Amino acid sequence: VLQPFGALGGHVYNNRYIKPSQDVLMSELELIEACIQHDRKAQKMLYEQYNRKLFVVSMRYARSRADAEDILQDSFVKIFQNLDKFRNDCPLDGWLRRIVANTALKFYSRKMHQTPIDDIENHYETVSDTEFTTSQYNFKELLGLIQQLPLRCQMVFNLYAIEGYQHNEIAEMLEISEGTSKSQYARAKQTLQKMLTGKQSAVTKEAYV
Amino acid sequence: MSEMNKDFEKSFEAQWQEAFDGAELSPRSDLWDSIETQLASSSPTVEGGRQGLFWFYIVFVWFLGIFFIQKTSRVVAEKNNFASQTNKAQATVLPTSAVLQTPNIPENISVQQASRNAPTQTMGVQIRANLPTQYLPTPAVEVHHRANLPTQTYLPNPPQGTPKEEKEEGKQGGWFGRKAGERIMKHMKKLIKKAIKTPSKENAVESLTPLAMRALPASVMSKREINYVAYVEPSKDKRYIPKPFWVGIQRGIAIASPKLDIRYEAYLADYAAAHQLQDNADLTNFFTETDDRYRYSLANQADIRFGYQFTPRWQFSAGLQYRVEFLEQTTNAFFVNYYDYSRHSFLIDILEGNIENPNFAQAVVNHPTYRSNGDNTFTMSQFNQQSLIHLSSQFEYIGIPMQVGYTLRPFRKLGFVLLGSAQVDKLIRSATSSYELRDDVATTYKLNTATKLSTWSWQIGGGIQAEYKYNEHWGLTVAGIASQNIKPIKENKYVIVRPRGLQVNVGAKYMF
Repeated sequence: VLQPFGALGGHVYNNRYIKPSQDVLMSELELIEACIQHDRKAQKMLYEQYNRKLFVVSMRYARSRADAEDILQDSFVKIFQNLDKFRNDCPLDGWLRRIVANTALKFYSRKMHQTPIDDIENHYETVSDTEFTTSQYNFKELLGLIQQLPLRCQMVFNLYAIEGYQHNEIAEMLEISEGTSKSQYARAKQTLQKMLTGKQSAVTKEAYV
Repeated sequence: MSEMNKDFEKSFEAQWQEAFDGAELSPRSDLWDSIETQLASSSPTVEGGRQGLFWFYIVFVWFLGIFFIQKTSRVVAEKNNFASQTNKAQATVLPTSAVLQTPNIPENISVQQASRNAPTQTMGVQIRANLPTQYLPTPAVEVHHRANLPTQTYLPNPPQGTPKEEKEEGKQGGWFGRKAGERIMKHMKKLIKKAIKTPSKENAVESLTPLAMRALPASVMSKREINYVAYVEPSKDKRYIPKPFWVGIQRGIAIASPKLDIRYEAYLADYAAAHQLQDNADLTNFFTETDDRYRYSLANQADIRFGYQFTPRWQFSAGLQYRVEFLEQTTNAFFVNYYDYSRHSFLIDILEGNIENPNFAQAVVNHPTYRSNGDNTFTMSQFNQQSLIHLSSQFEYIGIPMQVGYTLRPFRKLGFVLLGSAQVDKLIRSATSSYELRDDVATTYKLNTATKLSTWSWQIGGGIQAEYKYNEHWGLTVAGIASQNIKPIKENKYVIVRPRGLQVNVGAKYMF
């Protein structure tokens, strides 16, 4: 039930009435609207609501925790600057995750371009899906494994396996060919399967980067 | 183990997705501070500027209101909460104006019940209301009613004397009695009831009426002037926030009705020369009547415009225009409908053979309308009636159009801009493809000339532009503008062009 505006003591910003974030429990739409109006308290509310989930996303793409925090910081700045473009036709958290992913890709884009593409056919040596399981690992351990993947493999793996992008979309995002995307994914999958099944006990990232 | 079997059945991707589903990790605790610092340093200045304009407007309106008001009380009427409004109506008089608060109350009414000492004999009610469909914040309709009252001032408290005493005081031109006060009060109630016509139940104006009624007696009887100001603001989700800058392209046509002033003296001078008449021939009244048979000009134009929206209402734009104008005019040039040529010495000279132009003299005499008066004068009617000036020209301009616009936005997507325009044009090329004098004018006098005109011209005008906001950045515009040339284009020595026309432009604009 909407309370009378006067009782809430809201304020006007940019010709719009902003409800005070501390007085009422805001709906997501109200929170977004207040963030668009640069209401710092609302922005902090949004940050507090999503920072831990988005940090996991950032960590998946990052090579280190410090990088992940930088990516998260850049992502939130982008989020607040572009929140007015959020069309509300998809879940907010999905939109936020995409921003984090894109920020991470941009963060590592130069490094990725400096890394020669190594999509040799022998990376297609696949292992059956049913030969391993992730259930015995917690997500922090899995994060560690993902971070050990070569940089481009890591990006492709995140985008394909976890975010659910198709290879043609990934190819466009990373400015690589679709075949490269597939081979990088196969390589990532193979490496992870080896790590998970204990066939390959330790893979250092230096070996690939 | 059974769990592992289940996992085996899941795809590789599904397992990973599930592993990270709902996972949370905390970043460093001071990360928000870094984000906040970065946000503060990159906050858009336009927003701030716009906010500044908004508050400037509010303060301006407030200042206008407070200028005449010494004491004010504030009543906030909530659409869904009449009870709280009633309580507030009885609150103490406050030195703040309700105008300041009004934009905070979308779709609701803010009432300013103001009072001041009334040194004069006026008493009035002001009501100002927004059009409920406006998506911009300025009040759009103001209803003002002021009733003149008798010259007597009002007692702070009505005298408690006998009716007789009151009557005597009234005769002396002194104080109003209680009955007079009651009459005024009754009158004011009537006025307010009349003025606060409830447009709809939604805007809650109706609910103000009892408040106004309640406020009246004390105010009237304490020699106060009362002003009620009420207006409706669009709710926040209905407001239209325009982008400040835009660039637009326009493509249009202009239809003009150019008035060609025929400079007959120049024409006649040439006519006389062509017929070897004397240079000093008096041709002043040779042409007595002209009429335009038809005339039009059609211009094809393309613009690029750059605009700036100063406020949600006011905008300015300027740009460059290339325009090609085709002009065609045919005149009926009646040399003479009925005229006594005896007053024209040159014709007498012709008849007397003083001018070496036997062919022309013979032509005059042979004309079917020639009537000799027998005394060296003659009369002709409808002489040279069929002579025409047919003109077909093409002008090319580079123009600088400038427009000031005031925006009305009754719909969120569709708005209307009232335009005032001024344009300076530089004629860069022109050609008269056909210039023809027919009938009695010698065929050798047909002209096909190209005239170089180095004239600047100015036109002013006004019109309206419909603007459809397709999305956040793109808009489509259709504008109609009526314009008038304030400085004529000198076409050549026979005619002066004064276009007055209507232009229609269709365009697209990109707002950023």
